Amino acid sequence: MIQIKHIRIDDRLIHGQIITAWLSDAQSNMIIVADDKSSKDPLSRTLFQLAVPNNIALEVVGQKQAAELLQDEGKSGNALLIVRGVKELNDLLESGVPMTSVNVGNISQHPKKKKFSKSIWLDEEEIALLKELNAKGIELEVRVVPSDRKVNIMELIKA
Amino acid sequence: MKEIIIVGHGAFPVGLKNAAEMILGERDDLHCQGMTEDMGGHGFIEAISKLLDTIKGDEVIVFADVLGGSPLNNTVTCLHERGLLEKSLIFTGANLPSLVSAISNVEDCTLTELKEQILAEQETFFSLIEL
Repeated sequence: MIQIKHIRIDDRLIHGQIITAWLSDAQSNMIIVADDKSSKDPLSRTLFQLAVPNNIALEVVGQKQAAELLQDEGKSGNALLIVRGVKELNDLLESGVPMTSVNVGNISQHPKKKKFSKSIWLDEEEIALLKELNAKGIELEVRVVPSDRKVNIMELIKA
Repeated sequence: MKEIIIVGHGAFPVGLKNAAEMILGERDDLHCQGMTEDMGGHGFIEAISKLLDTIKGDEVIVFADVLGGSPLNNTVTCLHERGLLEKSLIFTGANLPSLVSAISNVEDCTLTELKEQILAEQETFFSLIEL
């Protein structure tokens, strides 16, 4: 069975910060990208595969398929699980992926969104979803890299 | 005509372009786009799209800072969307000697020749100096 070591929201999915910092911090030997868009795009898959070191397993699945993957008895590993955004995180939760704490990394700039930190931009819908997730007891901690001080996203939203 | 585009994190691309132009002079076919911290993924995609839409050349040589980085990933995706991937040469681990070599040969070589030239020289681009 696959154990989830760390869940992260990051709209850049797999990139430098993930490979150089988060993999070792999360003591993971597997990356799961749960993202409908990437799972349907062979080019994204190729780029992820190129980026991931040889000793790290990679799974790219749709948001709703992640729960199935975690139930797969034939697969094992300590996984770093990445989703693109808040909505996608909620899809994971609804499909039965267990979570107690989520690292909010990069949700980047958008003309229709408001800035909450240098790496976090949110619209009203995302804010409402984050409040719901928080009310369910899920810790939503903002850190771009592991050495950053954890800030609860509720503090940013209230401010 | 070939265009050279440097992409990477922060001010690395603009710095590398500036350094290359100190050595070889200013060039119209040399471009750069950095992904700054406040720009994020979306901002970079917008900027690189704009750059790809303004260049005149039909062949592209990309120098990216690191494999797996968002600047490279997003650049490849944008090239693909424009049907330019097949007419591109993409390197990672960009540095000044490799860029200088590419610029020096860009006008006289085809993309395939340029690729062979740079691969043949690559050991000289990063090496230990023993005195």
